[in-house]
This record gives sequence, structure tokens and C-alpha cells, in this order.
Amino acid sequence: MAQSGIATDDLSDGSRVVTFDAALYKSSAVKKAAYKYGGLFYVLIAQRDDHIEVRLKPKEPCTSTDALVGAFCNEVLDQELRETIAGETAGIRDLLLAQAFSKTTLIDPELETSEYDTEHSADSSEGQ
Amino acid sequence: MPTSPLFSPRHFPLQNDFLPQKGAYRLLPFRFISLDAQQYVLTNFVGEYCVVERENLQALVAKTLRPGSAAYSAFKSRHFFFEEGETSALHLLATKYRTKQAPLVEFTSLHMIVPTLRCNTSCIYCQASHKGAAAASCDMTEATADRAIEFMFSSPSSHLKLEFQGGEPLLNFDMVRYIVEYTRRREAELGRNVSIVICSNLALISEPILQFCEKNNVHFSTSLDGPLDLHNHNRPSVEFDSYERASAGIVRVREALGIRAISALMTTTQASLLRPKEIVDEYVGQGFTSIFLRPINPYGFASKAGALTHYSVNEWMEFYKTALDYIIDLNMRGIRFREEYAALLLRRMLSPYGTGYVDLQSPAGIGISGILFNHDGNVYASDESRMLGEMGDSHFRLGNLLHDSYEDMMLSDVLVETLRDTMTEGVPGCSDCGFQPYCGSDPVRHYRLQGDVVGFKPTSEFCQRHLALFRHLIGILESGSPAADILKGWIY
Repeated sequence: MAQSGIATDDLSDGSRVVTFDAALYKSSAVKKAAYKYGGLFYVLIAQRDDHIEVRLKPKEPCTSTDALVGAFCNEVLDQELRETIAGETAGIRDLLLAQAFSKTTLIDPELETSEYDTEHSADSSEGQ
Repeated sequence: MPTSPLFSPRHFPLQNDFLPQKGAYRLLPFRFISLDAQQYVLTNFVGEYCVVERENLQALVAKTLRPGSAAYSAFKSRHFFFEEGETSALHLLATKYRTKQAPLVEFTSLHMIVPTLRCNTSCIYCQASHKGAAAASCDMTEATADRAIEFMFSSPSSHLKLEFQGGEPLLNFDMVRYIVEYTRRREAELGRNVSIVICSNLALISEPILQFCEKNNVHFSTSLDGPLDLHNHNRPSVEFDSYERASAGIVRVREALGIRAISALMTTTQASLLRPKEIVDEYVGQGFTSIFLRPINPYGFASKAGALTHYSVNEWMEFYKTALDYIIDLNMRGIRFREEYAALLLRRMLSPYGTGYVDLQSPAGIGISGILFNHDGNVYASDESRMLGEMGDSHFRLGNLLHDSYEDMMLSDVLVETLRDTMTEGVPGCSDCGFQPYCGSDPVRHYRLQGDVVGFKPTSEFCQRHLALFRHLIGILESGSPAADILKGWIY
């Protein structure tokens, strides 16, 4: 079974190995998905040359492992999207928090655009 | 009853809404979570939400939404992005966020005090691990009470609430009287404002007690678990008929102090699960206008009672959904009645205001929303912390009124570190959750059930329950049915 950037393999002990193309998937997104599925699987993540290998062993006997592994792969996609959002909005989030907890106006109409653009550019580059 | 589909401004279809290239807007912080197999709930920085299919979520992030489309307008109006040169969205979001966090400034409002650990009922889920009615060593002393009251007035809260917990407070009414009179005297001297509630099974309510409470503006909260047999199963007493005393007490309190002077709480046990409608009917029949359908707490005797009290999240959710449907049906038939758990979640979801509900705060509500003074002077970060303490685990004991200062206890490592470590904005499983703006941290429950104040969210029953509740409520809100309007009417 293979999807774009994803390959899976079945092992004799009931484990499934899912392989993610490291050019398409961030290891942090894979780890976050692994945490979310940590109640259902024992998870082992390994970084290989150009891919990320995830071994999923069901904690309990399971008749729907295929569906769960598929859901895990979709969760990695969701986590990728979350990372994109977090990376792009980190500067704005900090600005909002500073504004919310300050009695003074941090958003200066004259300086706002230039300061924001500088910060935003830095955040964008870090997030990629 | 079939209803015609209503347009929901939070739920819009795909309609040629996408651009072939990136548009010119910038994302604002937001989170998302699946609602069902097809749809996602997106929550913005302050918790305003949209329900969309994944294509719209991806288009939002890829910035290929077509300006003027329904999706574009909905996301823009709810501050999921802002256009170049626009600053009002940032100001609005910051103001709304500040409003949501306003309860933090109030600091500790709820102060619970245990005048005695003695009790005259043997509830199967007793969270306080009660002692027999003759165990006078479980009574609070005046010296301890004095320190408790001064501790309470150290809080900057503008709306202090003093709540007598037990044991059964009326078994030591002399101490209740002493504390109330001392509090009212200090309240006048300091120009403060304190509301006082006695949590009681009402078995010992009497005319002198009611006269005292009327004079001192003291209200009551009692337990009512359902019809006679269920109530007495959950809350037995060898001395009296628990249901009969509670029911009669409710009437007497109302007659003496007014209809609003008493509220009731129910606890769901295994025996309750098959009787949701009867429990609601009991509350309606006794003249209450709302019910708080509470799952059981895993502390005290509840943790020893095994099958008598334990059930799964799914079992409780089935119970809850049946009861909620029934309550909605009552409203459709003209009976105004509210479910309080839903009401407080809806307030967090749909209003710009925060709630003071201790179990759903971030940072957690322990210590800084509510705090408990035990009969022996020990100060606990919450009622549940006290229950753990009674079970022999004093992890959340902040100190003792007779030996430690307010500052020492409120700045104690266990409190500060727990608050810091469990903020949902930063813990695994919560920080990215689409329901984070609505949810909170319950470090004591996670410590008790999972041995860790943060908890492991994938197997956390607290997490599973609240995910299910949020999804269920949003499902109703998005259904376009009259039930959605009924739920919105519960927000206060």
C-alpha cells in the first residue's frame, strides 16, 4: 500500500511500518502525530537518509489496524498544516499577546507596518 | 420533528471559492480539530469558530480563497486572516483575548472551608472520605478559622465567595456561625463583598439555622441525585431518609430565604446511567430551573467503591446526550430548563467572556480560582486536592494556616510549578487542539488518574470527555434545528 510520500509495511508481530518522505514531511509533525496515537500504538520513530520511518505496534489486539494507520497518516498531514500555520503566525501571536496584556498601545500606527514586516519576514523564513 | 435546513453562517459550502494563485492576506493564529469524518472545527485566537471541509481549510492556509466568496467572508469576519494594511483585526483580537482572560486578574474568588469532617450520611462516592458524626477531633478550631478568614481577605478578588464544605457543615453549626459572623464583621470593616454558601444535605436544617442564614444572607447548596430510590442508593444514612430530608429541606430553605437561596448538584453513579430522564424530571418536579449533570470524581470513597460508581467516558456521554436531548425537548414544550455543564461550555464557546469554572481554566484554577481550608488548618489547592490529602497523598497541600503565610502558600513550588507546567497553551496534545480556547487544565485529576499533573492526553478521560462534549454541542449548534437556539439561550 503506498500513497504520495508514504509507504507502509506489515511485520509479523502485528506492527506496521510507515515511511514518510523527509522532503515532504517534517519530523516534528510526525512526532506530534505519534503522540496523538500513543494511546493506541507503541511508536518508534527513526530518521533514515531521505525518509522518516515510523513503527506502529498496536497496544491491544486490533481488527482495524489498517484504518488506524491510515488515520495516523492523515494526522501527520494535519500536523504539517498546523506547523505551517504556527510558523506563519508566530510573530502575530506574540504581538497579540503583548497587546492584550499591556495597558499601552503597542501597535503604533506609524511604526506598525515596518516593525511587523520585519518580524514577519524573519518568522516566515524560520518556519520554512 | 423535521425542520427545513437553515443557513448557518459558520458552515458554508464549496462554491468556486478558490483562486489559482495565492491571494493577498495574512493568516492570524488559529487551531483546528476534526468534527467528524468530513468536517473540521477551526477556532481563532479567541475561540470563535467555523466548521468547514478540509478543502476550505487547505485553501485558507494556501491563500487561494477567492475574495468575496462565502468562505473568504466568513474567515475574514471571524479573524482567521487579515488583509494588507488592515489593523482593526489585531486590535479586536487583542481586546477579546484580554476580556477572555479577565478572570485571572480577579485571582482567588472561591474559598472553601471545612468546619468539620464529620458527616451523617455515607455517600457511596463521598469525595471527602467522611468521618462518623461523633468524631469531634475532625472539627475546626476558632484559631484556625480566624486565620482562614484573614487568608480569604488577602485575595484581591472583588467577589469573594465563602463556601462551607464537609463533612456535613451543619454538624458543627457553632463553627459555621462563628465564621459567618467573623466574616461579615471583617467584610464591613474592609469594605469587601462576600457571598456565603453552605453545602449541606439539609438533614439538620432548623428554624434557628434558617433565621441566622436570613439575617446574614447565607445561601445553601445541596445534593439531589434523582428520584427517592436512586438518591438514597447514592447517599444512604443509617439515621434518616436522605431523600426525604433533602426534599423537605429544599422547601424549607425556599420558604425562609427565597427561591434563589438554594441550588442543587447531582453526581452521576453507575446506578444513574440508565435513568437520565427520571433525574431531570426530579429536578423539574422539585422546582429547579436547571441541573448540572456531573460525572463522578475519582477521589475519596468513589475510588474505593469500584463498580458501584465507575463507568467509561462513552457510558457517561450516552447518559449525558440522552438527558440533554430530553432537556431540549422540555424546552420545546415550553418548560424553561437549563443544563449547566452545557451552559458553561457554551459560554466559553460563544461569548467573549471567560468563566470562573475551576476545572476548565488555563492556567489551571487550583489555588488561583479556588482554594480549600481543611478543618485541621491544612490549605489545599482545590477540593479535589483535599480529597487526595484525605487519601494520604498531600501532593497539593500548600501549607497550614497556623504555620505558613499567605505569600508562602500562594507562591509555593507545588502551586506555581503546577500552574506553569499545565497551561494548555503549551502542553502536548492541548497546544494544537482546536478546542483549546474552550478547554482547561485539571492537574489534580490527571495526577490522580495518570500520575502526572500534565497527563497523557490520548488516554485522558478528562480530554476524551471534553472532546466529546465540544463535538456534540457544535453538532447541535450546526444542525440548524431549533435545538441550536435553545442552547444559545442558555448563555448568561
